[in-house]
Amino acid sequence: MSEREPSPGGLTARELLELDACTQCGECLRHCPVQDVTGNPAISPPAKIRMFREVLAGTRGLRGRLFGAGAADRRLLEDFTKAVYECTTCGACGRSCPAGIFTQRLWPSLRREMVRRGLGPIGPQAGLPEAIRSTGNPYLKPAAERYAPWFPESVVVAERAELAYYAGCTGAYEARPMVRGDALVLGASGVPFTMLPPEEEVCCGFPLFITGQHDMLRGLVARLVAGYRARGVRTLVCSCPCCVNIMARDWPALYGAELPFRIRHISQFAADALASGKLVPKRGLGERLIYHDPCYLSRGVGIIEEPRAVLRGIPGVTLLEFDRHGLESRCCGAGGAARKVFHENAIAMGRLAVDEAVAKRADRLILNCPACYAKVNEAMVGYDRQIRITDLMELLAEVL
Amino acid sequence: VGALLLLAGYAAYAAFLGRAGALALALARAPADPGGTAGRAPSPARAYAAALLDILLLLRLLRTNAPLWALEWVFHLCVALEAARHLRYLLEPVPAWAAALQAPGLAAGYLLPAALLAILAAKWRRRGSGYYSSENVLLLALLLLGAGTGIALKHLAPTDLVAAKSFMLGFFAFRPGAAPASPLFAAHLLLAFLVLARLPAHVATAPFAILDANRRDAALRGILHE
Repeated sequence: MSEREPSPGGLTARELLELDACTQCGECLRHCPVQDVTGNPAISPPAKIRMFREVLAGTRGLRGRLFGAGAADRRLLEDFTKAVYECTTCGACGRSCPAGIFTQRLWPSLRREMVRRGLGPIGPQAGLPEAIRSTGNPYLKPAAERYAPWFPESVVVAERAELAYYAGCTGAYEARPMVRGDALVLGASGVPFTMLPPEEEVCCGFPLFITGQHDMLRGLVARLVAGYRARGVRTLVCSCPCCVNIMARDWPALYGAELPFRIRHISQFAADALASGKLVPKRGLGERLIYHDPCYLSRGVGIIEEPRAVLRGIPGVTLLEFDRHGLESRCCGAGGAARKVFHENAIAMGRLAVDEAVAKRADRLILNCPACYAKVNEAMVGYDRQIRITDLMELLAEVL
Repeated sequence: VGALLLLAGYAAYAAFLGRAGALALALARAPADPGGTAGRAPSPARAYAAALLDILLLLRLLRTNAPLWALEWVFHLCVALEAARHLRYLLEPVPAWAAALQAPGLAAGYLLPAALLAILAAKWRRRGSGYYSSENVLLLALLLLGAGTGIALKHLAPTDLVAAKSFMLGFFAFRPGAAPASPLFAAHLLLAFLVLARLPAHVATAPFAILDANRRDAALRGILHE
């Protein structure tokens, strides 16, 4: 379950090997959401790899040794940096890669390398460490507003419990109906759960990880793990796919040991609770629902069936699928912190999801990620096609 | 001509070995790889078996683009058979299995350019809308020319095979001999050396990436499921 943290300042052997393994075939372009909306092969996955190979050749290769690191063309580095930060890191390219390159990890590693070289991050991403240092979240919002505006009064939070809920910054500040749904579902299950106080529930580290800024990660993880440990937590549940991804994949390495609790996505909790009768829908819906798989949940940690089990557990629901779903899902545009800089791309990608959902005559588009929720809602502002957007737990809470 | 061919050949091998050595050095000096695959790692035997199938059958490409997969599979098979067929010019005595592969190797020699042309056409057609690697197209063009000169050597201007073999054995033993007096042979050999010098690193590294991908795919479900 654990992966060692890559050493700072330098790509790992596996990453170097993957860079060389790219055959430059270009098959991934048909699956890249950024290509879908920009049509610009110059920022495509193989182009990024080709550029980075040139960067390496200019700094480490014979040319670099003969002429020094300055031989690495500044323009090339800047072009590469823009391309690697324009990516949503959704990993669809890796899924379609004939060589099986793990791009959902490779792109963040290359971003880390650009940060090391002083070229990344770009735009407002550079302010993330200071925002998190000063407020505990990347949105520069006060801790007092973390839970209060959305947490349901009817739901009781225990001081100590084996089950804990981590709301996450994006849900708490940008997608409140979603985290409210989480809390309502947890409350309805009757299983006691605890939460950290708002000033202690700091960022999980994902925004820093994904933008290549790794300096504060260990501190954040140590703080959070200590908080949950002190509350006797054995299972930590979260609904944000990015948080769940870094918790499951990287927290053990950042913590330096196996975590004292297991990580679960809330859809796993809800599917189990529906199956065991702890949650019972009180009414049906009679609607056509289309479910969007978040990239870091499906390709990232393999959660594909449980959200569908939750939807099928609601009487009367007809479940529709996007053409690209499950492990092949198409990014809605919110991924990889690219939305903070390349806003128009993100909106255009979000609209592709809306277009398909509308074309399939879905009554609602069901999302399962706070970043998707915020961005696809934003994509519909001023758009001629409209669909009702609901978070998975928000929907489940509706029928309980 | 013989001396030029020898120089080109040794330069090509030096370039090939230099690149391979630089890659090995870079990998050896790189920070340690992550200690394991997130999730439950599959048994090594199962991972290697799955990866072997994946590599031999190009299964990942099949999943993505079935028509291109068919062309690439024919192309790779033809290259392997051609390489095996050519061993008779490089080994003495010729192993029985290499002798047995002469007929399929010959057939592969005719099929190879057809597959290459189809792959090039597919890439050319996508030039405006997809990623276009001039490096790849150049390599394919070199292979196509190599295949063309090979067929020409067989049917249009056969060279003295004994002299060709003697030259190649001398080349590998660092005992240079006279090259056959055939411009077509020289062109064919030069093209082979050029391909060797430009051989993409993915020939060596992609199988390891595919092995890793198989481990990762098998372990994915275990990340959040017990």
